[in-house]
Amino acid sequence: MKSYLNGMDHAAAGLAAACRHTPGRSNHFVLTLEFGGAVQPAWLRERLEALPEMVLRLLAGRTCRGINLAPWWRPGVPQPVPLDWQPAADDAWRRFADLPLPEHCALAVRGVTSRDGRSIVFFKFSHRLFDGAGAERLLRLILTGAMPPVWAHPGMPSPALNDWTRQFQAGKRLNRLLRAIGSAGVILDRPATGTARSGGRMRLKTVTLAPVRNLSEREAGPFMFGCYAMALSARAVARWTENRRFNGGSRLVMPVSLDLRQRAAAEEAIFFNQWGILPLEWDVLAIHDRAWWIDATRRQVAAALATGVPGDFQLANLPMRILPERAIGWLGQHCFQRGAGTLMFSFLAQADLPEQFHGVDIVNFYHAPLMPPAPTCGLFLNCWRDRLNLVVCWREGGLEDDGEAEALLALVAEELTGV
Amino acid sequence: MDYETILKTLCDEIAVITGLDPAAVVPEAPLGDNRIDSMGFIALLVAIRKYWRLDFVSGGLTAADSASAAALAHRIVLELAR
Repeated sequence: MKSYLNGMDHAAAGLAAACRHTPGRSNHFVLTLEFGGAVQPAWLRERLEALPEMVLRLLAGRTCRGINLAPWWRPGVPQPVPLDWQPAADDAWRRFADLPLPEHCALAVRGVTSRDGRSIVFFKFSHRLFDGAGAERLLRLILTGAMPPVWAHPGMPSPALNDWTRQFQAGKRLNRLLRAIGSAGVILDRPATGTARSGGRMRLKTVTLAPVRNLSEREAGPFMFGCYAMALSARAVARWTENRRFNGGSRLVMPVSLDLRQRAAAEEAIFFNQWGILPLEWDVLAIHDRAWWIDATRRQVAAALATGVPGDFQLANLPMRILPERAIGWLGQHCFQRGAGTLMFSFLAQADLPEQFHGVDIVNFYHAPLMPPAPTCGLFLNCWRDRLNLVVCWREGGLEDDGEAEALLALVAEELTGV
Repeated sequence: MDYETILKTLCDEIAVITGLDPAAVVPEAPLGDNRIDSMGFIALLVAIRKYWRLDFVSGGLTAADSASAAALAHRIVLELAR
């Protein structure tokens, strides 16, 4: 059975095409595990070699087009997952992230051992085959060695060629939403200059999770941690832009990624992009009203879920599949450059990973994608045990310097912890 | 509308949101055990607004109200009786 790509897979292909001049030549993403002690390369090699053949074939795959032009993922000849080990360096993430993935290879691994003997392991995933939450699931299988004997069929089982009505309805809803955002006034925008050939950069800040959860419960109510994180991160971005060289728009628009896996099927939903985008907007003039930001976020998310907007991104661009990937990339960039967003936001709740690997503690775990040239900059939050990781990723030149990223992280931390 | 009907509607909605088999949803279990997360909870609030015209999106629910589907159903019954 063929695995056809969904709308977000086409978006990922378009983003990869938009990144083709960057050192990494794609917009892959890196998951980082920081260990409390030394990890032996042989332990990882053994686990990677134990991956089932079906997984290795998918990792070595590539997109093909059928006679109907609908792209599908053709599994390749199984190859060992590239794994190397390097001495510690301050820019170890950057060096690895800026290396292109080998051809027809959706996963590469690099370990570094720091001077104090502790290991850091980077897992670089192709966005063509994985999203962040799917990559976490594969990582769990690698770390636990518990490979399921049966895997759900990845991707779409059919090209959905006879489903034009739903696809055009989804497109209509999205167009209406994006036009409403575009026509409501000037959007606060960051100049995107000279970043099409730049390498990736990232900065990490970690805060203690429990006080943030308590504050979220108090200010936003139960089960609202995701909305709380979105709202206050956006408010931090608004504060961050106040005194910078951005245009004077009064509306902040942030594309937020949402994991659309149905929780019951999530165990096996590893491959392909199972997420959607939700553009959210806030009135920067309401900067002093913290409660308003939280409520405005909840209301927009509720309105979007009521109309099915996040899922529309998976369907609406299916008709675009007949275009070459570079054209999809150009269209995506063109939309962003018209002011569709200040930066990308993503939040992943507690990862279901083991706390140790071969008896060595996993001290921290975080996501850091390579951002596309537009919107250049992204803010990625994830929880690991008692930590909340705040990561800013950007293309070199997209921010003035590392200090600018650190200032943003400090503001996000301040918003979320209330301190 | 009676408590049982409301609870059944809520459990069916949880099954739709999470992809669980409706028979596998445990009304008295914490919502998290029924695989409801932050986005799932908002989807549930949207469903409550659709079925009973009660708007909890902007708040109004306590931690006790959202402890389980059964607790949520009790709260809805109380609101509808007002």
